[in-house]
This record gives sequence, C-alpha cells and structure tokens, in this order.
Amino acid sequence: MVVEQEKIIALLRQSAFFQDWEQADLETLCANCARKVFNVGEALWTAGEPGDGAFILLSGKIERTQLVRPDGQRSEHYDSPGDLVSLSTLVQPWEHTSSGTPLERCEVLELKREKFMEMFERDEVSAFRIVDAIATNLVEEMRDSNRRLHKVFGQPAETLRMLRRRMRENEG
Amino acid sequence: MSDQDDTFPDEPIASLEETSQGAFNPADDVPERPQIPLEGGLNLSVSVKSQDSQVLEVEHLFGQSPIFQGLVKEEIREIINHAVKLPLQAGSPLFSQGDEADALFIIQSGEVQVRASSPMGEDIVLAVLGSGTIVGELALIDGGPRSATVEALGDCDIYRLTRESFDALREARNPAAYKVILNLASTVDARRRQTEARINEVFEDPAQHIDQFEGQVHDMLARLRKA
Repeated sequence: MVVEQEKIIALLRQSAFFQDWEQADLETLCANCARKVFNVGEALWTAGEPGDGAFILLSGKIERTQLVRPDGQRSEHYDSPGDLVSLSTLVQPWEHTSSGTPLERCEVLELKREKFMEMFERDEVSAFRIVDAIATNLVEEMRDSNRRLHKVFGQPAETLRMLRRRMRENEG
Repeated sequence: MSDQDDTFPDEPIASLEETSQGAFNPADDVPERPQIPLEGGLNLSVSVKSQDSQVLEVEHLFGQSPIFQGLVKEEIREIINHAVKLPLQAGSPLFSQGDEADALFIIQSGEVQVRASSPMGEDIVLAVLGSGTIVGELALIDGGPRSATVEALGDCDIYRLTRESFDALREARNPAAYKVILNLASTVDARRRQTEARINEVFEDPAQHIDQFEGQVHDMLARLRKA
C-alpha cells in the first residue's frame, strides 16, 4: 500500500526525533528519500557490504544483529515509526558491521548518501538535523567500543581466561 | 580509563597539499582580521609579530586540521572567532584525567604530554603532541570525564574551542559547525572501527595473543608480590 507524503510525515512526527521539525524540513527529507518495502527474509543491509545510506522506519519491525567482542551476538529491534538505522553510512561508505533484517513486513524511507550530501551542501536544515543524530549515535558507539577495549586490554586476567576457553572450544 | 576516550592524538595532520579543492588556503588574499581573544594575559612572543601574519598563522593552524577540511576561509574565521587563545606555561596542566570534557584544544606551538593512570595506579605516558595537533575533539559533541591528563612540556600556545561556544554555532544552524561535526564523525568513526578491529583480532586468533595476555598477568602478579 502506498503511503502518501502527508501520512508519512504524520508517522514521522510520532517520533521524538522528528516531532519538532518544521513541515518544510520534513517535506525536503521525504523528497530526497525513496520509499521501499522489505518483506521477511529480504535483508535491508548485510554485514561486510559497503553501506550507501540510512533507513527511516515507517512501519514494521527491523532487527539489527551484530557480533561484538567480547560480549557476543547482539541484537536490537527497531519498531517505531521514525527510528533511524544505519546512519553512519551517510558519512562514509563504510562496510556494514551489522545486518538489518525485517522481522515483519516493513516500509522504510531510504536516504542515500549521495542525496544526503546534496542536501548538506545546500545547507538544508533537515540534513543538519540528521548530522545531529549521527553525532549522538557516534558518541554512544564510541563509548561502547571504548568500554569493550578497556574490558579486553585493561583486564588481562579475564581476557586470558576467555582466550583459553575459546582455544579449548576451537580444539574441541 | 574511563569511557570518555577523546584525549588521544588525532590522526597525523594532513599537509596543505592534501586539503580538498575549494577549501581554505592560507596563501589566498589577505583576509579580514578575525578577533582572537587572549586568555591569561598577553603573550609577548605573539605581540612582536605583525597582526596579519599572526592571523594567517592561526588560519593555517585551523585550516590544516582534518576536522576543518572542506571549510572555506570565511567559515574557518567564524570558528576561530569562537576560539580563545590560551598561553600555557611549562608544567601547567591543560586538563587532568577525570575532568569534565568541555572543549577541544589545538596546539599552535610547543609540546604537551598525555599521561594516564593505569588500573594498577601507574602513571603512563601515552603520547607527546606538538604543533597542529588537536586534543579532545570529541568534547565538541559530548561531555564526560577526560581519560588522560595533558600538560605542557614547554611553554605552549594553545587554542581552546569550548562546546558551549560551538553549540551556539550549532543552534544557529551554522554550516561551518555542521561541516566540523561531519568531519569529526568521519574521523571518530574511523578510529572506532580501528578499535573494533583491534578487539576482534584478539578473539579471532586467540593463539596469537595468549602469550601477550599471559605476560601481562605475570607482570601484574609480580608487582603485587613486590607491593
């Protein structure tokens, strides 16, 4: 079912991130995104592939899975309209470190990096607001990486125990 | 060390030849004179230079940094106008481990030493940073405690850009501020990915790293026995 732009904007406004955006900024964002539907089994993105844009959830549910050392497999769910995923690939064509799959049929807005950079170069407020979200996410991810770095290299006895266990598992 | 890990040195500074096309070039025509406030009194070594060469020097300092890449010279000046010059005497701390991170620093001249306490309480020198280096850039977008102590090895001239003044630019939707954040995101995310790769390497091939961790544990036990 095709969701009209007004309906899309109403959906986005349900989220804390988009609720105070000017109408014109939301319209600009929508005009620069492609509306896409993903069914269960169709990956939005896959770990190891170069990323070329972000997704804004409109409906459905996305699972983001990632192997993070030494914690193990991590899974996060996005199920609210306006949830932003895969934002860091708007900055650079980084390889995805996670995979994104729909847990149920979902509709998203896809914002390609090229379109985002065009918006940014035109000094669009919508692009600046997305940069704010990128910065917030980045800080959280950096803190998480540093926490694990300190866990691995700052607690050598615990790391040694984990490595020995892993070697036994590999041998077994 | 704390979660806030923003005091480590930035990547090596790109040379002027590496600046992107259309970006600031200090060899351009003589610029308008930005206001450069001084903090902590006048610095005599600066006062003997002509004001124009001082301005060019500061613009060059900012313009060569990766986080200001892509900014045109007017935008560089806007950022400089929000920074404060901070002369620092040899031995004086720029900030201490555990302090609230509220500003980015750019070293104009002199050298600073980055030190941190290890979990065993040892004081470890992490780096010595010189002219052109940025310290604590993540503080522009986030607070939290400093993960290391930075102090001047000799007399230094350092520029401080506080998050408060940078936030004023952000709130005004200043394009220069957003270019800085985007550059910062690229730099910090690249560093985060290196961190992830370093962690993954240990667990993907444990046999290659087990000796290193056994050695560390033995050293720790030996130090505990001595204590």
